[in-house]
Amino acid sequence: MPSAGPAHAWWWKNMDKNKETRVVVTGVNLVTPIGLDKNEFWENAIKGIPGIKEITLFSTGDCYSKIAGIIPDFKYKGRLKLPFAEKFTRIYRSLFLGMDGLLEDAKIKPAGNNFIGLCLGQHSNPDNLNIWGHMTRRQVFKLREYLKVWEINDLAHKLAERYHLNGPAASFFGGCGSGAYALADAYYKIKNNEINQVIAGAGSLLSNVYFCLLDRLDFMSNRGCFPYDQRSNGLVLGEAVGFLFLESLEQAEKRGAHIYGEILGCGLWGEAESSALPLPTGAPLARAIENALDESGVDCEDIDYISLMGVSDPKTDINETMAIKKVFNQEAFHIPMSAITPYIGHSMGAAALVHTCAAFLMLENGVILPTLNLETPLAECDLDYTPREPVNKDIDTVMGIGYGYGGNNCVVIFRKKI
Amino acid sequence: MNKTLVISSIGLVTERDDLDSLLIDYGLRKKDIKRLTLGEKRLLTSCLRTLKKGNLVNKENSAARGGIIAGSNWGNVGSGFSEEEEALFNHNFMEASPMSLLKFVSSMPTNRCSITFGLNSVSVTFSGGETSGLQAVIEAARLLKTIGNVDFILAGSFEVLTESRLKLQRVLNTNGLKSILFRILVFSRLLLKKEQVFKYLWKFQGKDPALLGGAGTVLIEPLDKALKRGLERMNILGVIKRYSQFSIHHKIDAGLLQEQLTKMLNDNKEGSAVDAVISLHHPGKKNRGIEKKILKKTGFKGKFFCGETMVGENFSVSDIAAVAFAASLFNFTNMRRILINSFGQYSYTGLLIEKYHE
Repeated sequence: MPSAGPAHAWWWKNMDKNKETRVVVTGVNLVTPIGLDKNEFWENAIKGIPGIKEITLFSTGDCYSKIAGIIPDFKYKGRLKLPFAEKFTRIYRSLFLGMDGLLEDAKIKPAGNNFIGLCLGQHSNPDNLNIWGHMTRRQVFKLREYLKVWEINDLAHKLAERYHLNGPAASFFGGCGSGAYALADAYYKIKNNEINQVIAGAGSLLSNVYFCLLDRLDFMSNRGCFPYDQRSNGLVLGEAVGFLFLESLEQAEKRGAHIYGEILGCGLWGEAESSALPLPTGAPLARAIENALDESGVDCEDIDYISLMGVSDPKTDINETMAIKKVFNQEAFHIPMSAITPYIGHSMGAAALVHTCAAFLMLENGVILPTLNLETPLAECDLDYTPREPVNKDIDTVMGIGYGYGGNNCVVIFRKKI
Repeated sequence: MNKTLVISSIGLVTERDDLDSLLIDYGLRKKDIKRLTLGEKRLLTSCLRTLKKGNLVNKENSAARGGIIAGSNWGNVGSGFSEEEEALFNHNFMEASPMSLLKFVSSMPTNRCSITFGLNSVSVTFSGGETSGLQAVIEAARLLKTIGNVDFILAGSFEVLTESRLKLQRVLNTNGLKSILFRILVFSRLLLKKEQVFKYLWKFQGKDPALLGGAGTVLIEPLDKALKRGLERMNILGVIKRYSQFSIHHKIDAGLLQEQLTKMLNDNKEGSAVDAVISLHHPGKKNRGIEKKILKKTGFKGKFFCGETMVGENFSVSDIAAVAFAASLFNFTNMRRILINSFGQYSYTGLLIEKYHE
């Protein structure tokens, strides 16, 4: 009778509803300005090649900032047999590409009976914003595109539809921390014994409307991305897509999947003070970190590496540093940490998840990627940000930080050893 | 993990509600209210109503460990209320206020609520299509079960759609594409019924702006914490028992629906049968036949309510209205267990709630 597929049926029958399920990651993939898959990303990241360039995708007009990390154009030739692949907009093609790589990495064949969930973190759909842009200028645009304006969850459902994912699919919006929220939700779904395989993803591509409005708010830099550095003067936006394949440990072992690591816990905390800037004390982010440590049962001294957001805005970078110091006290000075933002730019809704994907690759390869462009740190930013060069180090327990405007803080802790 | 989660209050806002006066009474300044988008106003008002009914309206009481989870099908854009947005729609976006940016951010209404009411433990915005309302309730239940540092969560949804459609329609009219749009609307089944498509299309001439939309929230909390803070047992509206969700692609998977419904209807230790099903079919009635057939197969013999006629079609807000309807059925009838089935264009969400008994 059940049509939910053999894996799901087996799991449903055998699961102990009162037992807490352990959640592991068995697939990772990234689409970034420095690589269209995780291998290309890693090769370029190790070489220290940054992906931030002058924008040629759209006209920046009178904007103060002219630079961003843009995913290079590509022809989609993936596992989805799309006769008119080039008709799909960039965000769709990038998500398809990311998803193909993820399923290949996790050794999953999408079929009609896959009861796999999808949690997609997104800041906004760039297609929608572009169409609003067209509208405001009274330009004619394609009616097919017009229909996309209507629903904000279009990306998640289209992905689920194309890849025959029968589990629940939803989009999450939490500003720049959206990806972390998607990851947290995917984790809780499995931990709560509701489903045994969920894809956590996030995608953020640039739109001219958003870029110009953000530029007018004076949030942007024209100089470059210099997190924690005295030269930092604003955001450099970037594009990225990231995916993680999460499943229960039992299911992963049963199908003999390669396990990247185990997710130990998440910490959520809203700021409830300001809709744009974080509190200058770093207290809410510190609270999210404490929650994550509590939930995962990990002590401060067990953390081997912290994956930072490092958005290259001095106030935000200082706030992030203060939050870490507040929780870790003296221990904070001994933990290596870094932000991959100078490689790909600040990818807004996708940032937290993409950084977590990169951290899983660091766990796998035993190398910590550096914070590029860090020469003279800000006085308040005195932690070990792993500047300039990659560091060979076997790391086990990692903390990934995600936060966004509106006060959405989400911290995830994971480790390599099972 | 096995917490009893109760619904202790519900607040709904419709198109015709006076939103400003309630917010002014709460202490918001007029100029701040003027800056809010319609989505923000609606969600704020419905949260305020829910918190008031749940005796949690004082910031001192609620700030400690409250959270908010809001779903939406249409998002925040398109209020058409503020001058900035008018500028954004009518002129080049470079002439609009940069603060219009916030209107593109779907999470702003939720953030605004968490800031206003001090709900700082969890603040999540998501979209799961038309069934986002029930999905928000499920998200809240999941988080309350799994994480320990939350005392209560406001789960709900908000919808703002007509003004933006109006603007879109105006733009399309200027391009002479109205008839093409009409055909697309009909064939893509974006709205509930063909008649509604007609109704909307002809009302989109700028005279009658709004019929759909609104906001709704329910207050969900663990029973022990609710009793500890002084909630009386008689005020408990319902207990969340089970939930289920899956995606629909083109056509509903009857096997999967049967599996999920069987699990929800029969797999309970108490052995109590479900007394009623409230069925909401957002994109059309094509799945209702399948649903009824499967319910019959599972041995369901209770009452069957067509949600659209009972609570109206307000997209994800209908789901919250259905929860309110179920709570009123508990109050005025002998029904003890009610299943709410919500079918969207892309997803199915089911929620089984029970009348509270000691």
